[in-house]
Amino acid sequence: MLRKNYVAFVVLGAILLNAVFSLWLYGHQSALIEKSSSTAGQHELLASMKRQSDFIEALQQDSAALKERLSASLKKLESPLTKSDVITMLQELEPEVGVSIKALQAQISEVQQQLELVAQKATENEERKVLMDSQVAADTDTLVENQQIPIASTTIEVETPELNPQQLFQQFTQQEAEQQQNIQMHIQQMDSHLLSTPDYVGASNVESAFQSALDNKVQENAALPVSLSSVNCSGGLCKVSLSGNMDGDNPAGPGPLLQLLALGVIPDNTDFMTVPTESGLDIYLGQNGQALPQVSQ
Amino acid sequence: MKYILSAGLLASLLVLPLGNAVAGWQSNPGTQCKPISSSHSYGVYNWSGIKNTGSRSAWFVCPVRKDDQANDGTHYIVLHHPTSRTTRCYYNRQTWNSAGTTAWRNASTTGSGTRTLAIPAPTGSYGAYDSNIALCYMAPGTSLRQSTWLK
Repeated sequence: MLRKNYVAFVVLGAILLNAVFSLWLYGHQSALIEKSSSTAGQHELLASMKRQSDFIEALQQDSAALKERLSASLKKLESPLTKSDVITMLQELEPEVGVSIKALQAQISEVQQQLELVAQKATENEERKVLMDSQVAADTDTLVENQQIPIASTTIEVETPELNPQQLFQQFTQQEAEQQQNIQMHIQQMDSHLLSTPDYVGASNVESAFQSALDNKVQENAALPVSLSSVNCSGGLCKVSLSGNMDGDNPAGPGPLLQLLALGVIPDNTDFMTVPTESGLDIYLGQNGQALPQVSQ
Repeated sequence: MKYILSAGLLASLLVLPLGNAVAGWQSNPGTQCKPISSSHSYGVYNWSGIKNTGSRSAWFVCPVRKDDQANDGTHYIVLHHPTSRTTRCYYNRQTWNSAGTTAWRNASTTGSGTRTLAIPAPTGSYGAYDSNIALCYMAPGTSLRQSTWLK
């Protein structure tokens, strides 16, 4: 667009100059005629007129050539630019473009220098951070060794991204598996705890309580479909194994476990856990109000 | 104008905890409890409690809401004995899909009149999908008036 305006401006300027010069020449010719009538000879006047006429003719030819070039340029600009046109224009513009490229190159080199400076600073900061971290770790180790200071674990709150249904299902399945694993681990821990130091007296007391409850139930003519298999106690923890149909005869009513619990077979404020087995039910209970061993993950 | 704003702010600060307390208290009336055996007869006591109107002792179960579990872990059950008798209650926690493995804790009270049972939550907890209930074995005439984490 700028290029098109530039060419039109140059051609119009040439035409205008031509017109102005023609007017000036006309005026000058009239002055010469007036002068010749008074002072110069007729031959001289004719020769001068001849030169001026030739000059005017040449000017008119130049003007026609300029018009042709203008119309050609306008046609060229109206039609799509060819590759050669572009090359020509670029060649014409080369000096200006060269200056711009040089300026751009200077700016780029300046930015590159700044980037190198920033990278150097970042490296220095990273090295300083590593050094400080190692110093802090060393200081913490020293403090913990000397004063037995507990190290508090820090957690960073991370914004949880929204999950699609498939991811939610995977998360749910994973949590379910973790829960199952924790339950199994807890049961294994309690079983291994029971093997440590057997408490025969405690086991005997618990066995008596359960057997008495079962016998009482029988006396009430409401026999429970379960029997006492074994009782093991150790370190404040007991395991009572019941065998039989724990679902009971009446699905709508309370099962054998609730019937036992209704009798108060387990002392108040007892922490206990019931685990269904293939043969019936295991009851893990803490003795004398003790809590069950906690699962360690 | 600023006095009105200050008064409004003060009033809202006073009303908010009170509203929560009332909501918590009213959210678990005894009427939410039901007998385990669907054939056992029961009645509503004073619009908010449930009463064992059967001729035998029976189990009643009450839901424990998720936000109730966020308390210190102690669950309170308010009972009324018309005459001296014993009521035994259990706090039960079951982990989702735990194949029937459940954690328990219990408490009992003997005597007459209104009595409050405090049951600590059981120690067994394995995840976010634990569900909790309170169970009480109640003699005839006993009413369960509240099942809540509020004293």
